Amino acid sequence: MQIRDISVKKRLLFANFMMVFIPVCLLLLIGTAAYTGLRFTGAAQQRELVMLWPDKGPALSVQFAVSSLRARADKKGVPKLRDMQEDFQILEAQGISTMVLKDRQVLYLTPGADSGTIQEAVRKSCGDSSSMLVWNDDEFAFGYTSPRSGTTILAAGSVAFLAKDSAQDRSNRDFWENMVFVILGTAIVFIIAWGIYLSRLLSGQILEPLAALRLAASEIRKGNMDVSLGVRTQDELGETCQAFDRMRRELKKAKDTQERYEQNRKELIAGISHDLSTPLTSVKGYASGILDGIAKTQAKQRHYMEMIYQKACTMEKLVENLFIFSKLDLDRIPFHLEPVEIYGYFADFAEDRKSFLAERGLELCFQPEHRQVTVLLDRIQFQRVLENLLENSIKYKQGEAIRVSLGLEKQAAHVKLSFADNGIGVAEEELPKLFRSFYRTDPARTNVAKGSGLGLAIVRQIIAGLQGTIWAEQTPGGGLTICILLPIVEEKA
Amino acid sequence: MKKILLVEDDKGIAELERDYLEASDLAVEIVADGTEGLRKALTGIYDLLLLDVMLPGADGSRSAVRFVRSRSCPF
Repeated sequence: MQIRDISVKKRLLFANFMMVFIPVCLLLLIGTAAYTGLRFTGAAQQRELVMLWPDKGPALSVQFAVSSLRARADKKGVPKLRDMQEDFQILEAQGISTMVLKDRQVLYLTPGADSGTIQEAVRKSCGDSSSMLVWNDDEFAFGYTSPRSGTTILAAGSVAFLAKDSAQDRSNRDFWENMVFVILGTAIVFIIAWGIYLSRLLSGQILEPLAALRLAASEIRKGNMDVSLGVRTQDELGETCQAFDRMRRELKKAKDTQERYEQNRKELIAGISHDLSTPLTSVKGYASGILDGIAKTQAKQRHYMEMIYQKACTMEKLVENLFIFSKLDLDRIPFHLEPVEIYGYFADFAEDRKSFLAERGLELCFQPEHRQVTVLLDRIQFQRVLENLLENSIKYKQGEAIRVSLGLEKQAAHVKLSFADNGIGVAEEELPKLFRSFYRTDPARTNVAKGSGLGLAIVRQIIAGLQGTIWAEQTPGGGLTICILLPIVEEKA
Repeated sequence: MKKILLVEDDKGIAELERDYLEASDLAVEIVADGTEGLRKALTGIYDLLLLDVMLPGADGSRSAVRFVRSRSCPF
């Protein structure tokens, strides 16, 4: 097992523990070493401590005073007692008597002190040495005779090198030493507790989004695309979750589109099979009728032949529409767009087709206006749109005649084309389905010859190719209105 | 002569079926709508009922079930 195989929670806990544990250990090690080194070694180390730490006794000030006197004694001529006065006071404050001699003559003697006693004490401790400092736990003795000036400085007193602590001082010191341990221990416990708390907090913040991600991935694997992560933080994990959520939405969209395509494909196949098999059955039936001798008279045989021809034409039309539809669906039909003035185009169309449509029972109404609105059209494809729409109105007319009103209306950057008929119309809920391939409002798909259900699907494809939109409405008073919105490329008043 | 009610919405197929049946000396009555067909089947006297499945009005299967429920006859 590798480190990366251990859970993030355990790794985080371990990392945070180490982050606390190692500094605490080092702190303890250094503290123990320093304490042991300073407390349990010899007196020399203690004295060094005292020398470095003047609060512990008079050592440093006495040392300075002695050094200063030695330096002043080295100056040639008669020593200047005024300059030495400050050093005398320091020594005398510690109970050390001082005297200065030159040529056996006493130049200075601590008031109240006996010169003989001082000389005796110095000789006893320092011997005949011309420069010596002795300072132990009982007494202080200093003797120096300058080889340059011949000035002699002697100092002696009963003062211990280390200040003796009183019982109260020792008690205070013990108290503070204990307090140091208590504070140190408390600090360590606090640091560890704080580390554990922070690592738990951090691991929670990391693991919660990860758990949400894991759950969402599991749901998506089961096919449930509606599970939202709900992590809204702005950190790296939050951004990861949001990216995952975007991916989920895209997947859902793609899945829905795929399902819709699949449904369309099924409907298309079902539509093709039905609409081709019905006329084919008729063709087969009529041919059998002739072969079986059912059509006994010549007139009957001719009728059967005509029926076979009609059904073949129906199938040919269906296959042709299917071919156009599939080419449009696969973007295989190139659009040759050209600017067309739509008011003039409609006026010409109405004029040209009026009589032809009238023969088929369709009255085309259009009120020309003197406006100049230009749109981009592929003339051949748009002609197919108009033919399919008018053909549709003829197929679903009520009675013998039908009236179709062409309308043009400018709407901001678009022009709205409307084809309102007074035919049998379509129920409100059926309107959005009209442009689906092989869709017919009649569930029995009664008369294949009436329509393949591809006419409006082809119209929709062409309008989409012209960057337009199409929808169906009910005509007020009955009938169906098809509306098309096309973008305007140029407009003149 | 046996009497048959033919419910078929495709006019061409209905005519063809009628020709075949009449060639076998059977009298055929054609109805193009499912609802009308069921009404006729329930009110008239026929020896055989021929129904298309996909019909405008009421589809063939539903009409057959309703007919069989109201009359005890082979289906």
